[in-house]
Amino acid sequence: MSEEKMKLRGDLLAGRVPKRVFMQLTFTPEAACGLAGVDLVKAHFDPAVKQKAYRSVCETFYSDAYPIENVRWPEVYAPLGARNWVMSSTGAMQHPEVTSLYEEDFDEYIDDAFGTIVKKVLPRLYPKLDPANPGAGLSLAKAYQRYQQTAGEEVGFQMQASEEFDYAPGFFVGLFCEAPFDFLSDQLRGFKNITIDVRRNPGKVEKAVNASLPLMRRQAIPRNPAPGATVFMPLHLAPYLRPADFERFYWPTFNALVQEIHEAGMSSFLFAEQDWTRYSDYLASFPENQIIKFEDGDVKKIKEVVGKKQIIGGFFDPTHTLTRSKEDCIDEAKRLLEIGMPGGRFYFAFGRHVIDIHSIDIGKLAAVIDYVHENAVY
Amino acid sequence: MANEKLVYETYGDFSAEHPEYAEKWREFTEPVILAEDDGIYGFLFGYLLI
Repeated sequence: MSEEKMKLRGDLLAGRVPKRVFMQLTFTPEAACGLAGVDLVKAHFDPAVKQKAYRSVCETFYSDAYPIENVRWPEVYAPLGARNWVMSSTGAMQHPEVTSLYEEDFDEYIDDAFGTIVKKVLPRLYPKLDPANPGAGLSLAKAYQRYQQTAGEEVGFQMQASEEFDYAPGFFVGLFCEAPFDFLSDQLRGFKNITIDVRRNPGKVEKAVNASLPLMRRQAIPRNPAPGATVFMPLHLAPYLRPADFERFYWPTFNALVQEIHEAGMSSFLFAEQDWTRYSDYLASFPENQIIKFEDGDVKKIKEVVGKKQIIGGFFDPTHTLTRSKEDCIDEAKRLLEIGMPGGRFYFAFGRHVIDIHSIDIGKLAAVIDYVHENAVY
Repeated sequence: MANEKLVYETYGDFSAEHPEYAEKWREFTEPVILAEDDGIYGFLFGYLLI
């Protein structure tokens, strides 16, 4: 692990201007298998195949931090009979829209969110956990054991690759949670139902979001938080809400969670999905040096409002390499650097993970990455 | 601890169908389900629900 990259990372996270721009790229296992020419289904169940695929990404694209993100493991979901994470015939993990908290469950959830999740929500998402089915405990034990084993394999290869390719730690260190409104919406009510709920049952939605906060607090903040650790939060629904609904249902508990993570000595690593430009002032109001990756948005405004206090990255769409010339893609990266770099608190990242290797031009993307590596110098 | 106990009570007792293995499985699953560290909570409320 090079001192140079550790210093880059440390300066970035402390809000100091680093020697050059830190680069954190992300490819999924699907992209890695496509690049290596190996079967994704096999890769899920054979660490040697998976690691061959990961290695091909490390060898092809420069990054300052480990560039693979794999968090959906079919070998963990399958023993539970998962309805929400299902492996397709190609090995891609699919996420059907699900509802596990019914409208008639709202009062019970508001009163006892933990108990409702254990007794109703989890068994509805994972039928093998239904206490009415024999062997629920065995299914849980099997899945949990597999979860720990796969996590060990993933971390093991990450450490090996970090040694070989000289990576600094990335920003995702294993801690994650959701903004309470997203937690209620995602796999409990479902996106379609929650948009009806905010019209039909605003009072109950507000109370249910508040009831979700302690669960997410417990999820985010370990009993012994490591100083400087980051807690990842994918931010899903805010761009779809009217401003008044964001202000009432999304912001208060989201803000409270970020503040409490900060008070525990940690930082939030937020992925602002879609376009969060109109919420720039909110993001700027957090304690300084939260890490925020943007999928899209007005880069100039976000840099001006958010980027003077928070650490920002993202925006670059790797799929543009399929439709634009190499020079145009490099120009796009240049424009991003010109706006993002001044004053520091900026890192280079894709706005979206590379999921399908055929969605990018490998040579052009590698050229863009090399350009940033060689030229994004202060 | 009270919350984790609910998890165990809801999912943990399968000794009825395999009484001969009840003690062994309890030894294996009880520390997992009643663990006071963050592991089982993070699995149930994080990995399975986020």
